[in-house]
Amino acid sequence: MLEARLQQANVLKKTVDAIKDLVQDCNFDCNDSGIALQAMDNSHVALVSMLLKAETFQPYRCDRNIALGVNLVSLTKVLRAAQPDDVLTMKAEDAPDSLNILFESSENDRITEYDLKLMDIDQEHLGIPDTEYAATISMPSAEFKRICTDLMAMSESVTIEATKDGVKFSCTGDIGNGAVTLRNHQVEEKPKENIEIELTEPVSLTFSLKYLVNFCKAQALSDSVRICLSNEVPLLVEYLVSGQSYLRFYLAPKIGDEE
Amino acid sequence: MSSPAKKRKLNSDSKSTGPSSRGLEYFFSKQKPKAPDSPAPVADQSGQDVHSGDHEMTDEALARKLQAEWDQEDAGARPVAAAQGSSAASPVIPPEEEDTAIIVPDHVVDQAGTPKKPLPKVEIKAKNTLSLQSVAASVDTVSESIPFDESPLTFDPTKYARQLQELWAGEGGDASYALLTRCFVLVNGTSSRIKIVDTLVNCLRVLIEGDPESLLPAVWLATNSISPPYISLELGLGGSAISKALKQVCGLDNRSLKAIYDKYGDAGDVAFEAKKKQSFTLRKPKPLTIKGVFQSLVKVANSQGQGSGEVKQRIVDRLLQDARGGEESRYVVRTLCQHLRIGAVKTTMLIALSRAFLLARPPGAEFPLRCVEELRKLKKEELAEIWSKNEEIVKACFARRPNYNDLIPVMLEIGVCDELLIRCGLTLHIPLRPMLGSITRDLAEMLTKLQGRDFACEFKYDGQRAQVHCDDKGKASIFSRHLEVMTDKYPDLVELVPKIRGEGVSSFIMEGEVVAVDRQTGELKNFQTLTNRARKDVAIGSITIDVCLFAFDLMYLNGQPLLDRPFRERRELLRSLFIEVPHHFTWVRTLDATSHDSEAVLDFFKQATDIKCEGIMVKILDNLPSLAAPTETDQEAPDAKAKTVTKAAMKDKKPSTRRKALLATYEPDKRLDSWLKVKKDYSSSFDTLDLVPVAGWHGQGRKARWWSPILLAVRNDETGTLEAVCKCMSGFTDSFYKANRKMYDDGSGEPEPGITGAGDGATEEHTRDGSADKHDEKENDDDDEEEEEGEGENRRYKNVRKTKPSFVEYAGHPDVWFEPQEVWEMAFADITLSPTYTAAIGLVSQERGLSLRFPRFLKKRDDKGIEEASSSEFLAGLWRKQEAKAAPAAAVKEVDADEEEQEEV
Repeated sequence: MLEARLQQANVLKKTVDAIKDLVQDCNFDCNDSGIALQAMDNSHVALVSMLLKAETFQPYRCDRNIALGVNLVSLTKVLRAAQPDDVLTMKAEDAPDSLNILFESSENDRITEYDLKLMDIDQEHLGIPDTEYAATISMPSAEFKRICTDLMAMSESVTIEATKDGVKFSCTGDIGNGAVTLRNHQVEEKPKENIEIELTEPVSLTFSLKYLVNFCKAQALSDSVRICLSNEVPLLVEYLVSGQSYLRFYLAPKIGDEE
Repeated sequence: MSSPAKKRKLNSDSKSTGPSSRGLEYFFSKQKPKAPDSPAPVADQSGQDVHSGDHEMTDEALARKLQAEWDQEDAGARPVAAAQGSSAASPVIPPEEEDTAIIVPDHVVDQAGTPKKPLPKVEIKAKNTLSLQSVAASVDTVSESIPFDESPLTFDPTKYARQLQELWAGEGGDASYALLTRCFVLVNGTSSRIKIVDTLVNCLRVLIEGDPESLLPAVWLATNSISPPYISLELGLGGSAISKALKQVCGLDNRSLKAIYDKYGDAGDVAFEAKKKQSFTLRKPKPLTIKGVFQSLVKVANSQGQGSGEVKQRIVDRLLQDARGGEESRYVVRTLCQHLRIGAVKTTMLIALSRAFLLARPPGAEFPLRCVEELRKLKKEELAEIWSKNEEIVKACFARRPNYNDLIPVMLEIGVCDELLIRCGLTLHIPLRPMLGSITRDLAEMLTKLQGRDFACEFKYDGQRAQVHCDDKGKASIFSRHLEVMTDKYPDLVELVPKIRGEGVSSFIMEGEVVAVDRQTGELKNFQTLTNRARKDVAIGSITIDVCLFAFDLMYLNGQPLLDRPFRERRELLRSLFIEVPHHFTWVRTLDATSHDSEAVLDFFKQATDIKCEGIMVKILDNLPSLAAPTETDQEAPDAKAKTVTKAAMKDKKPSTRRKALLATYEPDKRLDSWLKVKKDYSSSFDTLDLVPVAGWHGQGRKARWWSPILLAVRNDETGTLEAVCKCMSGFTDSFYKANRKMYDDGSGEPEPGITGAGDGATEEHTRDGSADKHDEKENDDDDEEEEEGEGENRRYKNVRKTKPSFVEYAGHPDVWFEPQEVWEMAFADITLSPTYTAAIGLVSQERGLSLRFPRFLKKRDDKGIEEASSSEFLAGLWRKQEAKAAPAAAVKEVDADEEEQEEV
């Protein structure tokens, strides 16, 4: 039996919005510590890893491990009916055929209830190793989004180069080339706009902007984003939802043409 | 690096892997202490070692070696202890326990004795880790090195089947697509028919022994289809779906993809190139399996309706994603394009199957096999006889029930024997392949061929050949000569058919010609009228074009096949047991004659052509009572297997070959001289046009480096412009193409030879489009591709223009415009009104121009300048002449299909 109550429907709405273009069907794995999701896009270039800790919900109850196989397009249709501030409750039996989703309006007594059919998804889980990254960049999520969408207009891929001087996002396209450079930037009064670059060694990697722009849909979840890079390791883009809950994206770099 | 499995892979690929995967080890070292990786290679070592005795030592040595490795790995993995958490969940054998370690090899030895079962150890799934994988690097080295092209008499499938089973066990046990790819590569690499058959035979044998379940999908894939013609399953994939997938999977943008396309032309070759550029992925791809690929195709074909485009795209993406290496991608893409180009279609496949089942059987089957050693000792002729006997059976089965889904399972069970014909024979509602008629030049030739025999002449109506099945409940199915279902197209016939059964007829299969008629007068209409009927889901009330069925043969009656009965008997049954319905159902007009009745036959032929028939069909009525007839020897049946039989027979002077005599029986799927077509003289309407080549397109596939098709134009005398009249890609030789490419050179250069060369060498269809059977014939053009002209740079932009010359009239967009200067003499089937081509517009129609059907290059007219090319007025004149004749030649379509099939030998 699963029962999870989320004070703000928005959290789930935004999360699903951010991953539905990468993944069509996936399992929400529920256990007593929270709800997790891991899925890879069709071409195996990107991986989404989500964890909504039990603390994110009030209350949270899950007696047995349950995998909820959900079609994200369908889930989006249901979640579209929720107002951002609605209280959202998910309920499921131990071996569920469907997921019960309940929205309670925070303003009046309106109650909306959906049963979403579930499916069996045979999904393989990848172990994700902890990694010491060569460069870790924290920045406002809106800023990252802006960089990605701006450069997307020029080219299909972006090179992220982290050196001790800062981090440079550059691209080359048919019409010319462009670059955005950021440096460490910390202001006490406006912590939300801080840019922090931690670097153990310089690193430069190229990624598909199509995917990055996709990841940026998670911007609504968090004010800041953490970008971690190392050579020969997938890129990590992490949005912290609340507390220890997170939405992480991994992306394989592109192999340069010179190889 | 210490796991033997890993080491072996890396060693063999080290050149292609490059730096991309080397550095990943430190990061994901926790992947290593997985036991499942290790036992697999151990198994194949011990599998061989065991036979040399000394079990104890080998086992123990192995155990110690394993133990040592695990200890080492364990130590190596400890630093990443944080990551260990997840991997601990995977079923690793704890390396601390010495006992378990020893058990592993013991267990393996047990297995080596019974290699048919996959090793259970290997099936334990290792938990994968997120890591960067370069897909281009992972290649199935075992499959890639199997010498399928060896002679089937020396090739040992058992050895490879065992190796492969071990390999496959790790991936779920199904035969890998790499195996089939290997076979395709070898087949594609040769132009020798014998080699092609050998290669297929060996590949089939490995599958029969190694993974019989994958045999059926493999046969479908190799014949480039997913269902028999009478079950309509269409992939419905456009080239754009494949382009999209390539872009997605290989990380290409439009520009770079277009560059590769222009260079190679063929989508498969593009995929081969593009795969080299593949980027990293986050996990090791699951190798494609034969079953998996086939199921994906079926899924693609079955997805319909809203959003199906996306579903199909996802399947295509996945296939390309999981294809390992360039070759697999090449053939996956060619399969998706429905154009495999390995020259191994129906006939070849049936031959290969018949031989494979003589030499191999699946585990558990009991049917007798031929011993390879014995066969090796046989003389060539004796061997040919053994082969051909089985080929006959398999071909006969397939002609009666043309569906691998029916044939293969039975073969797996009982092999090739006479029972196969019974278990897999003629059945109601499954079309048999029609018997075909040979073409003769004229009546005289026909009379010579049939000298001394009784024959029937029948009108050859200008309609559509149809096979009508009706069961005892009155349910009818109608099939075309290409076995497509036409039941929906002719609901009027479906309604009619049960009513024509006379007394005592319950079920039947008959053949006839469906002809458009005037319901009131019964007057025949031409073929084009018939083609105006809707094709699908015709409602009976909406029919405006009435048809009449002219029956000419009966193949099945009341549960009994009649194929073995002489034509006279079949015809008698057909005429006596069925009921004529005027202007709806009747029999073809016939005349029984012998070669002495030439006057009567000529008269009959004239009657036929007078009522717009195409000509006449002439059929032998009776089998010869004895086999001593003197006419036999020069009547060689034009199908391949008969030839071998004949040869053998002639040598032995045994009169046992009834086959080469003219048979009065119904021989499905054969084109024999016992049925002859006599048509209105082809050559009487032989006009040619002198046309000017004005533009070209990049060729596809083999012709990628040449211009093909080429756009041709007539001259407009009044305006002096050149008006495009047709594209032509027929009648050119390779050397002509080469010279042409050299003459009209836009400097884009040729792809380096060798890259496409290997794959493209010999296979190519005849340029006429049409039935897939054309692949059965391999062109043996002298391959003079190697010497590429070496003049290099200075020949850029020769005789070509970047933009359309103002004096050329054409709305399309060719890849290159030629500087008009040559005149080519062209033949064609007929002239049609065309919405696209503007030649002679205004002369015969205000909106439409004229174009040519089946244009064919004859020769260059060096003696003519472009001002002497045919004019649009001349073209219009030909068109008027053609229309005035109101020629039944409108049915050229059917005729041509016939001719193409004849090449299949």
